[in-house]
Formats: sequence, C-alpha cells, structure tokens
Amino acid sequence: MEYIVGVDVGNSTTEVAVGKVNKEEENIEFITDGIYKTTGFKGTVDNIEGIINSLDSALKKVDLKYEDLDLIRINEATPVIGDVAMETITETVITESTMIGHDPWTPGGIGLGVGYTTKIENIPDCSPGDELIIIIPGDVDFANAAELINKAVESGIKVNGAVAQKDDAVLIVNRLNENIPVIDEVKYIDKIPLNKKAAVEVARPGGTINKLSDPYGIATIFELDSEDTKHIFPVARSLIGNRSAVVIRTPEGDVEERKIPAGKLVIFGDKGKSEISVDAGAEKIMDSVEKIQPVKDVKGESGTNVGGMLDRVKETMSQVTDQNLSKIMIKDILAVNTFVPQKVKGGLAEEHAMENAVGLAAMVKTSQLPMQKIADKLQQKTKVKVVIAGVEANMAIRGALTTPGTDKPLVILDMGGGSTDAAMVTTKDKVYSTHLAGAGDMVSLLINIELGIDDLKLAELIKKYPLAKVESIFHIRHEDGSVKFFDEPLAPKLFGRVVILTENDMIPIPTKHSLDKISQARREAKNDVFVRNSERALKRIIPTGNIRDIDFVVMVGGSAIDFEIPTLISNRLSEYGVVAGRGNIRAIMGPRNAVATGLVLSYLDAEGSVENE
Amino acid sequence: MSNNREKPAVYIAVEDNYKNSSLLNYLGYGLEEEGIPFKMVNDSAQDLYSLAHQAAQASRLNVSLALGENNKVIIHHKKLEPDNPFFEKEISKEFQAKAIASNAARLVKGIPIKEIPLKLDHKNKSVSGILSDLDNVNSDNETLKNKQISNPEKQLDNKEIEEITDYIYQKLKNIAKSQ
Repeated sequence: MEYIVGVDVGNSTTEVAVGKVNKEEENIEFITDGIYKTTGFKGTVDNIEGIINSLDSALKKVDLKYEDLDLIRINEATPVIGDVAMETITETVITESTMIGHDPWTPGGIGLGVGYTTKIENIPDCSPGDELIIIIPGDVDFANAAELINKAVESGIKVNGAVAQKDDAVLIVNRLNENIPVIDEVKYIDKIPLNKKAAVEVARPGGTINKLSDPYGIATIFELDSEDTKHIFPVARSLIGNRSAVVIRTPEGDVEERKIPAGKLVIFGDKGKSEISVDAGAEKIMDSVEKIQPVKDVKGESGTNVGGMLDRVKETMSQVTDQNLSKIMIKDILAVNTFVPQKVKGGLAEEHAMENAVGLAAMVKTSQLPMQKIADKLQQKTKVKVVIAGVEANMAIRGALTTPGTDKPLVILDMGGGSTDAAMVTTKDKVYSTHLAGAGDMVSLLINIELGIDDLKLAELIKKYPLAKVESIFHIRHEDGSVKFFDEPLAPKLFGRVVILTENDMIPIPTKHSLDKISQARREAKNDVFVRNSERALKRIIPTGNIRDIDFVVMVGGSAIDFEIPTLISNRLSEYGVVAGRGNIRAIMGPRNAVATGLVLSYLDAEGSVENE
Repeated sequence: MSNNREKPAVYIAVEDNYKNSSLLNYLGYGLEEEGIPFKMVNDSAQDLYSLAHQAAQASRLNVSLALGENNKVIIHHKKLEPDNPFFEKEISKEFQAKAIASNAARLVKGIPIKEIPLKLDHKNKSVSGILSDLDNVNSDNETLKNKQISNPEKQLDNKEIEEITDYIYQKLKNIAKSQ
C-alpha cells in the first residue's frame, strides 16, 4: 500500500490529488484532493507556500500526515505566462466647444429650438425679433429664470430653447407660458460660447432625438456645405440614441475623430517577418499572426502601450526563469477589437464618445522553469520524496480521460487565467500540444474597458457571476426574466441597479448601462477570447488541420467552471460535429484537478507510454 | 388604494411647525423636476416615522416623504415597517431636500437613487467664483481635511476636491497659455 500525491502548480491555482496504490492489483483509489491559490509566479520557489497549503487541506480531510506519504509527483509545468493590454486607436476632440451631447435624466420640454446663445442676465440687451437660446447658470433660481424668459417672450423676443446648469429643466419648463426644449446638468456652462448659433433638441419621453443626430439635420440647421457636413459627422454620430442634445456652431469650431498613432507590431516567424500597425484593427493583426505561423517572436514599437506591454511580459518571464531577456520569446498574441467609452476632450458636460480600441493578450514560453528548485525545497519541507514527473499536457490528458464518456482521440482545452492550452492525444498515444495567448484575464480586461467601469475586480465579478436587476425594494429580476422575492427589504443602494449575484451577496454595478448591455458585453468578451481561441487551438494541434477529424473535446481548467463559457464553445464546436463539454475528472471533480489526477495515475505506467511530440 | 378617486401621487406629510418651512417647498421641487405628482396630507401621528408610514399607506404610488423635527426627512414605502423607512436623513440645506425628494421619485420610477450632496457642488458655481476661491484653496483644503476626520461621511468631499483641483489646474494652464 502506497500513498502517492500529485501536485499541479497552475497559473492561478495549485491543485493536489492523493491516491492509494495497490500494486498487485495495479489499481489506484483516490482518497482526497486539495486546492489553494498559487503563491507567486508559477514555477518559482514562492509556489511552495501554496503547495503546502493545498496539500495540508487535502490531508486534513482524511487525517493523514506527511509521514504517511510515499511520493510526491509534481508536474513539469509548462513555462507559459500571459499578460493583457489595451490600446485606444481613435479619439474625439472638440477643438472649440461645439456640442453638448449628454443625456440628463430629466430634460424639459419637447422639440427643436434654434437661436443665438445668450446669458439670461443679458436678455434686457436684446431686441424684439431676436432668436435666442438662453444660458442659465447655476446661481440663477429656476423660478427667476422662468419669469425672465416669460417676460422676454412677452416683449417679442423669441426664446427658442435653454441650457441650464442645475438639474432644473422640468421646473423651468413647467413655469413657462410656452413650451421650449431645455437641457440641464451642463457642468461647464461657463465654457459655452456666447452669441453663437445653437440648436437644442429634446425628444419626447422614451424617444431619441432625430435632427441633431443626423448629419444632414445639422447641415440643414446651420446651412453647412458638403465639406463642413463631413466635419460635423462625428458630432451627429456621437449624439445617436440621446434623448437630448445641444449643438453650437462656432466658426472655428470643429469636432474631429483622430487616429492616434498606436504603434506597430513586428511578428517574426521561421520564414520571414510581418509588420502591422495596431490601428489596422484586430482582424488584420490576427491575419498576420496566422500567416507567419509558427511565430518565433513578437516585438512592439518602443514608447507605445503595446511595446510596453510586450516588454513587461518578457521581463517578468526573464526574472522568473532567471534567463537572459534576449532568450525570452513571445509565441502568440490575441487581438480583439473593442470600444472604450472615453471622455470627449473639450466637452462641456463630461460627455463620452465610444472610441475604437484593440485589446491585446500576449504569451511567452521559455525552454524550462526551475522546477527542480521547487522539488528540492518541497522535499526538504515535507521529508517526502519529490519527483518531477511528466509533461503538463500529457498529465492533463491522463486526467481528462477519467471523464466518463470520453475516449481517444481526444483534445483537451485547458482554459486558465493567462493562457489557453490545448493538447491532443491520438489513438496511438501520440501527444501534440499548443499554447495560445488570451484567457480569463483577457475577458476581464475587455469587460472592464467596454463598460468603462475602471475597476478590474468588479469586471472579474461580472465575468464570473450572473446578473440581475433590482426592480423593487423586495424583488429582483434575473437575466432570464424570472423573478425572485425577498422577505427583508433590499438596501437602498441596490435599488434600481443592475447587480452581480455572487454566492451570498449582491454587488451593485455603478453605471447607467442596462442589464442587457452588460450581459452582452460579457458574452461578447467570452466569445472573442475563448470561442476564437478554441478554434485557433484546434486548427493548430490537429495534424490534419481539420476540426472534423476529432470526436471529443474536454474542457478543463479554471475558466471551464464558468457558467457560460463551456456552452458557448460547445455550441460553436457542434457545428463541426465535435462532442465538446466540461470535463468531469474522476466523475466527481468537475473540470478541476486533471493534471494532479494524471500525475497520480501515471505512477503505474512506465514513463513514456504517453510520449511527447 | 384607500380611495380610488384619489390621483396617484407621492404623499408629503409634515410636522406642524414645519408647515411653512422652505425645505418643504424644495421637497416639492424635487418631485416636480422628476415629473412625479405629489400631494400634501394633513395627518398627525405620535412620531415622524408613523407619520411617514401612514402617508405611504395612503399613497397610490406607495411612497411618501415626511419632514419634521431636526430637519429630518424620511422616504417611506407602503410595504416597509414603520420604523424601518427606505431612507432617512437630517439635512440643513434646501438643495438636499430637493435631492432627497428626487430620490423618492426615483423609488417610484424604479431607477437608481442619487447620493445626497453634503454641500452644493462647486460645479454649480461660476468659474469666477471658483477662481476667487483659489486664494483660499489651501485653507479650504485644510478645513475640509479636518472635517473629514471628524465626520466619516465626508468621503464625498475628497472626490469633489480632486475634481475641482483638476478643473482649476486646467483653467490655470489655459490662462498661462493665453498669456
């Protein structure tokens, strides 16, 4: 009777499996397992703490001690780490204040008003017949403002609209004799140029503006020629979907959408290199990557975000492995197009424009990690013999094959935080493996930037858990429309908000985004990273390059636990006639513990029966 | 639902000595800005909570506001226990009353409530006002810091200070540029 331990140090978790070996009968009974977060970078001596914790938690369950153990088998971890970054490639700049495109909760009045911007205290200087848009600063009370406007109208001045600084629009309109559109909550009202032609539009409740969101609508109002209409187009586009807007025309005024020089990527391959500018967009970048396969290295232009990110990944890896920086190569990148809400430069009401951006994930691989150091240290600490046993991919396959209903040839997709790894075993036990950039961390990054929440922890939670809308103080509505009632009233801070439903808590998301918008962004990010990567991975490792030639795909790793990623991938792969599903290691562990299980199982084998490519 | 001929409205109840308070007017303005009808009710009860609760029971929108001793404002909901209102706060400024009332309206509409500002935002001041404050900005910051220590609710101010500092900094840069 022997007790054998398998230890798998992953990028984010360290997993342990303990088996009882009966040598005569050649069988192994698994008696316990453990999990703990990986301490330090994978492959460094810092990992010891996580391993010990994971092992202790496993042994505690069955009341075993280190002395009872016969052997610890630790994986030859694949030296792969990943990192993510984002590069904005357009920006909207208002060179002279020309528009206020923000969406206050409660604008007043309905319709379109055109006139010249005039401060409310300057009304007495105007003469009958003047067409005005009145500017009302925050120190003017709404009742006074309404009275002044009413008097002006009585004296024959045409007041066609107003812009207010405080949240007063409805109050003002209610006190006017005539209906005019009024926009409020304009923060930097002092920056509005005076005596300029301006248009104010407010749509009916539930509607959206249609004159100022149309380039020809704006051209009609301001009598623009075709050249100017081209310039005004970004303004119109950024106002689409608003309930209210102001556009002010200043002679020198201009809104432009600029392309920011975003830096270049140089992809080196066996046969040559390819240079591509990041602002060409994700498709072009990925095309270059596929063309150059296999990629030997990727370099970024120094001084740009991309260059900085690629350097950072290499540096981290060089520190971890104690190897010269020049020996560290980037083996894969994943680019994804996305939109970033960014504050418009020169805007008056903190309006945002959706800018194009490219999210990038990079992956480095080196020849080896200093696993022997970890093994020695672990042996010293536990007084148990520690051996490095087997390549990670092979072990993962051994473990994955314990999933009921699977058989060779089989592909595993190991979806972690930093990289997506795939391995295939043929009927003749030949193993192929590949590592791709982009995994869970990339999804969090994409959610974070697309929703503009600027909080990676929150983005992480949005990725992991389903959403709900708090509809009253006593009930929430889930994503699928079902309703849940509570006995105790919900906290006021949750009211009306979209919340993340964690195991035992509701976390409000502090944005104006609807539940649909958030869940769509979440699903798109998962699609862009995991579904795309699963196809890329399969095409790379299947010797024929044809996805139809395999039958089984088993998803393992932390991201396979996700509540929707496996379904998204399964749906896509079913188009190729592939059976794809979440792994269920040893029929009880779910997608976790594959490598640790494989390490224990392979103890009985003659090493090398599952051989590497 | 007590009376079907009654129009749906948020009911506002006040203690007798607040009947002429300007805060009361601003409660009304807050609701008006959000487009929610309201109605004053003349009830009496032993305390502000019961007063608010009674009004919420009577309102067809299930929501009430109450104003009473120490300038306390309560937002109450029909389905909540009398002593556990949706929101309560002692206030000192009219704009706070307006903000709380607009939150009552948001409770009816089902949209997220706003934070109640502790003082009127600087963003509502004119730029000249901000610039004239510039001279005092150091001493201002000092007092704000002190306040923050004594009052944990002052967190909001910090963000404000940052925003304003940013803005003024930009402004000064522009001035420097134009010279």
